[in-house]
Amino acid sequence: MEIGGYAGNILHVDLTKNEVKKEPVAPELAKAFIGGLGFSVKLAYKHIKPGIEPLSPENTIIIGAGPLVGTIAPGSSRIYAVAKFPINNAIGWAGGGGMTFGTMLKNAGYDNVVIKGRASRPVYLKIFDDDVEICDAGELWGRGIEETSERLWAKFGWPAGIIAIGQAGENSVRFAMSFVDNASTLGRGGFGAVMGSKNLKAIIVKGTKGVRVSHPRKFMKLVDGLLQRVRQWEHLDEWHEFGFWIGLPLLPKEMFYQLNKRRLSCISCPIGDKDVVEIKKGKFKGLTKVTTTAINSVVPLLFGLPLEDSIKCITTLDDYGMDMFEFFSVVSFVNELYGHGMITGEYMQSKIAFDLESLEKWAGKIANREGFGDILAEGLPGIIDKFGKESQKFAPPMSKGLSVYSGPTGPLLWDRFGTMELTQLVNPRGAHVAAGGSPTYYATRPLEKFPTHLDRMGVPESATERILPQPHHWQWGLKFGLVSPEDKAGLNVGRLTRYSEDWLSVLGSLGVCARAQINRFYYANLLAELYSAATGIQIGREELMKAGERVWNLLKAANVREGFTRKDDSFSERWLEEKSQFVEYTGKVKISAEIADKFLDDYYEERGWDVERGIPTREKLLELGLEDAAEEVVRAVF
Amino acid sequence: MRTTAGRQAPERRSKLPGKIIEIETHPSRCVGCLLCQLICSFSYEKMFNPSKARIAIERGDDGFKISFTDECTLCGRCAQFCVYNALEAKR
Repeated sequence: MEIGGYAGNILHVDLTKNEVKKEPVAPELAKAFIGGLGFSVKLAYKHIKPGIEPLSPENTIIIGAGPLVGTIAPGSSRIYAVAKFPINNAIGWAGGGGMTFGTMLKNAGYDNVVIKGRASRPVYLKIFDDDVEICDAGELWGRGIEETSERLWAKFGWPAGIIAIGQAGENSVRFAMSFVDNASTLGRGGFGAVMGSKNLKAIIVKGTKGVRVSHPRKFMKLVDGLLQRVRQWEHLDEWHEFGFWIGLPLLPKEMFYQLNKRRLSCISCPIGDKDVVEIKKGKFKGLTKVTTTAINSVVPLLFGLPLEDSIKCITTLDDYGMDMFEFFSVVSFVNELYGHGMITGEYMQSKIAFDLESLEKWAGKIANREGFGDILAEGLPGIIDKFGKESQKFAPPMSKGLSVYSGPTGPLLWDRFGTMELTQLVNPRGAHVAAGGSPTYYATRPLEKFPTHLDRMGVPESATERILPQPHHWQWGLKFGLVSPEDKAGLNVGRLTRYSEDWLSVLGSLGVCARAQINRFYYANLLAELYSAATGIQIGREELMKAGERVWNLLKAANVREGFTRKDDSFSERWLEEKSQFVEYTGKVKISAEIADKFLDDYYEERGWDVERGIPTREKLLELGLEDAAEEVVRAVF
Repeated sequence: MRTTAGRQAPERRSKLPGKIIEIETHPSRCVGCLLCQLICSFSYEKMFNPSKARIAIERGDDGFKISFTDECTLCGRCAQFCVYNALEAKR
């Protein structure tokens, strides 16, 4: 396929047979699924057969970079992977800022890589243009992510892109992640474990073929306009200095200077919000660490660790390649079970202390599956299995086997219920916040600002009326003094979440970053124009948003095929307890089970799905041109 | 390879007023976004291809190193696209 933007090929790798082959991208795939996340979902639907074991050779890893990746469109280097996740058996997506990986993949001549089977020994996959080789990774096996990445860069040079796993992935820890270029995280549902189960330690990619666009003049005019707006942004200098740190105002700026070494950027990003942090005093003075955001390094402060220990703790977890939220969740969970006498001395002699020495020791036991660490490595569902149904009531709030991490119980402390919170429940992959990107990302953003943002996200006008509280909703209450103006409850988070997900789906399929600080410069019309100029395939705003909807519906259909329905999207009782004190985004009303259920009803209704079952209807799938999925969903459910 | 581009270039393509006599580099400000390489390769090769750029960015132990190949024409496009002020066109 010779269309601008696309590399034109899908690379298939069979690790069992030690075979690689190239498949041209079918042109009809382009407009319908755009690329990146969309292609990865489409390929996963085809290659991951329902019911397979996530850690078996039958599971398939698909990694993709969209048509804008590799171009100069600002912040367009994001990659998306799909596989069946071992934490919850969901067909899950994983997105990461491909520092250089996505650009290099496109330059090597591939839009997607599909990897199946299991190598007979530890290997890494080397993709250098047409030279694709499955190489021995004996020397790398057993090493952490940073050392693995650095050894590969020492051998092959930067800017080769690298996806690597640590010991947690090697040993199939069910919340093991992979890291992109030693910086971005990929797949808290156990994507790293899937790589490990295939004996695949790393993927390294480098390319020299270049990425062309179909209408260079038009494309550059759009890019120039975008960059001009970025340069004029009043907060640009602040973001360049502090990065993501200023996204959370509760973090003092002085603390940033106590850990900042320098800033880093993914390719093509004018915001550059990755960090290199450094321990500046004490026992570990001089230790530096690349991180997806400096904020991650201070999460253990919540558990009482001092700053320097906190950085060291996250450095250890990242190097093993395990998700920090799940690590802290499983440790807190077993401590609680121990406190209630449900775990005896056979497994633990005392509660796990929240100090650096103890946390690093347990991280090692989990990553290497030593002793009781072997059970913790199974994640929250595995611990519940081990200690029985009774233990479940002490589990942290969770969705589809993963802890919900943005909410009043933390660790991302937040008391307003917005799309980021609801998507943790309805997201087919399990608890994850990125698909909830909407104006509610900012907890105090006034409703007056919403219409502009909704239009930017491609929300049709008719839906805006259903999402935003209409004056008649509260006029009566205001008149009789029952509510005050600041109580203007009624933002329909359920309906808004549908469009937040579709927005992520479009951005992810094109390759534009999911982070609000960069995608705030994009709007649906502009994305359609950029896609048209890059590829020469004319597409309008509605058609582009429809493609995003199609991708998300197919992802959901893949999960319905695995048996997921509305019951799997339900609220954790513990998340609605008095102490959690979630309140409506725009008001002061506490989120009750009734309101929560209404949000779910509205979400499914806005999606045009079966509200009772929480799954796509046959009609919706047919409307989106997903005939195969329509038949399979009907077969799976009825 | 040179650490600054500052010579009599055989071909000048700058559309900006005044002659560029040097591209001054500030490596400590470089974050590795490679916008410079993307625009450079696009200007001369009609494709986005970091490996064909006339400006080289290398990852060092303590940040990035910036240099220029002998083909650099001092057109100044890299400096124009550097959002981080790591490249400055001197006229």
